[in-house]
Amino acid sequence: MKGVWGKVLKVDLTNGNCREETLPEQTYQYFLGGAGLAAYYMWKECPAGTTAFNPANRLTFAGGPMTGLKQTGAAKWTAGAISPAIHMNADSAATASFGIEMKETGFDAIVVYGRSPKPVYVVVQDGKARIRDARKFWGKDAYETEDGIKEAEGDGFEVVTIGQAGERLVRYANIQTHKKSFLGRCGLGAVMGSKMLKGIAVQGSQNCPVHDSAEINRLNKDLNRRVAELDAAQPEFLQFKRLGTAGATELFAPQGNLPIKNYSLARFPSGERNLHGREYVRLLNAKPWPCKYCVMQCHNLCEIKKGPYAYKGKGPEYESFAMMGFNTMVDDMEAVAYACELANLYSMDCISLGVVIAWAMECYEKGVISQKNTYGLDLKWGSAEALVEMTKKIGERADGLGYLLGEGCKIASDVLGKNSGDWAVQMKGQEIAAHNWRAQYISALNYCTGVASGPNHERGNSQHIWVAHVRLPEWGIDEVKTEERWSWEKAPERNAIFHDYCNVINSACHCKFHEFRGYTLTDMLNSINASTGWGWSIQDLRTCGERITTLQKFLNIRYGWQKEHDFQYPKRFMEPVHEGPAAGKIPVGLDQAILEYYRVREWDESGKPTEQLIKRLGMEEYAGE
Amino acid sequence: MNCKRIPSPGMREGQDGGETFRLMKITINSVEQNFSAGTKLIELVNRVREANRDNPVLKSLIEKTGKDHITFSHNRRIVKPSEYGSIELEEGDEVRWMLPYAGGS
Repeated sequence: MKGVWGKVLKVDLTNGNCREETLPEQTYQYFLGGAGLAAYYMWKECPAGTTAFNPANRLTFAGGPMTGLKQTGAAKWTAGAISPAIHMNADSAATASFGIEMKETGFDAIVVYGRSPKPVYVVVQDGKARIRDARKFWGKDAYETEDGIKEAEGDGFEVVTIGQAGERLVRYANIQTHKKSFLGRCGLGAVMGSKMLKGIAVQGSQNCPVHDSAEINRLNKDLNRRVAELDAAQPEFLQFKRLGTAGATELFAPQGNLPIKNYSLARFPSGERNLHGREYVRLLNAKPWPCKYCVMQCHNLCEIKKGPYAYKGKGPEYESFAMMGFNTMVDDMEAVAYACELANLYSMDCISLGVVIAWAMECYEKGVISQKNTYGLDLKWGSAEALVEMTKKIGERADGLGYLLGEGCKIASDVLGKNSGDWAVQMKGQEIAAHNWRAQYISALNYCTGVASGPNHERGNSQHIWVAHVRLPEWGIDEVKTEERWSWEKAPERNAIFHDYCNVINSACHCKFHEFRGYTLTDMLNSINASTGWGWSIQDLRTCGERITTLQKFLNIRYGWQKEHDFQYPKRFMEPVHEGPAAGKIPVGLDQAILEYYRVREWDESGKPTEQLIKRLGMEEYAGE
Repeated sequence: MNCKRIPSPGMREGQDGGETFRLMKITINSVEQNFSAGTKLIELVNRVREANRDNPVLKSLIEKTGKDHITFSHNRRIVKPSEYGSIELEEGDEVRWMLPYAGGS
């Protein structure tokens, strides 16, 4: 076996033991690694009835055949488990160096299950693993914990940790690594907290053998040069090295893609002016903070040197920036960045957090809650103080509103009532991401039909056709017309292609941002083949994506998905805005497009894979319970 | 992205208004396509620009910078706009074009 080890580390926290498990090559050929392997372990070991905080839930950290290839973008890795937000299978990807280091320990994945009687962290070093006492770290934030584990274990370890929000089971708690990269969505940090697992440290020195190292070297050299050249060829304000994805706010305004005032407005002039890329660089002193081997360098190290929001650390990316700033109408750059970093310390996903706080602000505006509920805070739109303080209250799970908002806006609106569900912008329990369906209807379709992690902009990134100019010509998405943003004609097929694409890239483990600089499916295919020796065609790659999507659909069904859930989209989807490029645009016809998506996918009218599809993909053994 | 006089895949020559012309295969964004011999890169550039004429991001960029910032590479080298007119495509060439980053995460 080449490109992967064929070995997985199983960590049983209930009984405090670790063991090695081998996997056949066919498992990798079907599901690659990363997201696919996480889904595989849920399928194999989490029967129907398993819930997110049940010790039986499997939390799988996995790399893939591209992890560690010394190629730009190949630092990616994924984790997956049953989510406390959507109550189904979910996965999320991060970068930095943890995935590479994990692979160098000699394991493709670490599968954690059970629940420890006391806080622990796991140390994996060159094929050996041990479970260590983490009581002294419990209650500390995610970064302090990373520092503490590294100090305890010595140099050279890469670490993942959770902060207080993970310990306290905030349903959108995330997992961080290297103080800059996050398994952001679906509450995997809360799954970790439920297991009393505060962190994992990995260190390795083993190079996984590849099929054709000379070809890998040639590809790396060619791709690293090409991506760097294409980035450098952009005007300065579009270069990733300068301000990462945060510059997108400026580019999204003319597309109508920004989420503003809990998705109810099209324009936010002071936000567009103050939360501008130019101000990001100037006020936050942004500098590139690259992941291992990456030439794009979209992460930023920022520093606010003085004032109430002084900090040095991670600069907000587009999603954080849009949700915590535009969506709450806070136009103070420093306050938004600081609130995002607070969320990082507590380990909370800024997408859900920004939606939840905006939802609470709308509740406050409409009289559903008052200052009696808000710890005396004036929770009005645009209040930087309210944004920062509510972030703390949620992270601490303070009694009252802070605790309730930690449940996400679906549960919170169920509890508060008074029609507050009408402005809860969520589906299946998870808040919607920062891509506005009014700007491209395919986003609405993606949020409704995603099987990998519920409504998710990176488990089906079809919005990138327009908002990032991504094309997948090898799979038939090449020429695209602007007016198709508001057409359903090709949307179901394109949506299906992007779901499969995301599953392939999140399972092979490569960074999707490289699409923005001309990285193609062919580049990925060549890299997988050179790594594994499988000799796949571009169609084989698509079939692999279909298999992973189908396995995830089986898991959806196992954990309680029903067809009606796909049609329970937020009421706000059908509320138009009245100015800007998407004025008057609402996704009428969405229900029919969902049914057409089922047909394109070879699912039946109830939204389940047909026998014909299962047979074509050779997945008979995975179907059913 | 097809240029003028494109016959069905696999043909090695075609006819246009009685005129016979030779065909060549060019890989555009990883997909092999037929082009008539003698096609220049500028023809492809113009087609891409025309196809994206209504793109709101490109319009915004043109307003801000005077350029659309679509990038072309020819045989794995980025081509300067001043060179578009002088490059004649040949059998087996590889061309990529990339629209500018329009945001995304």
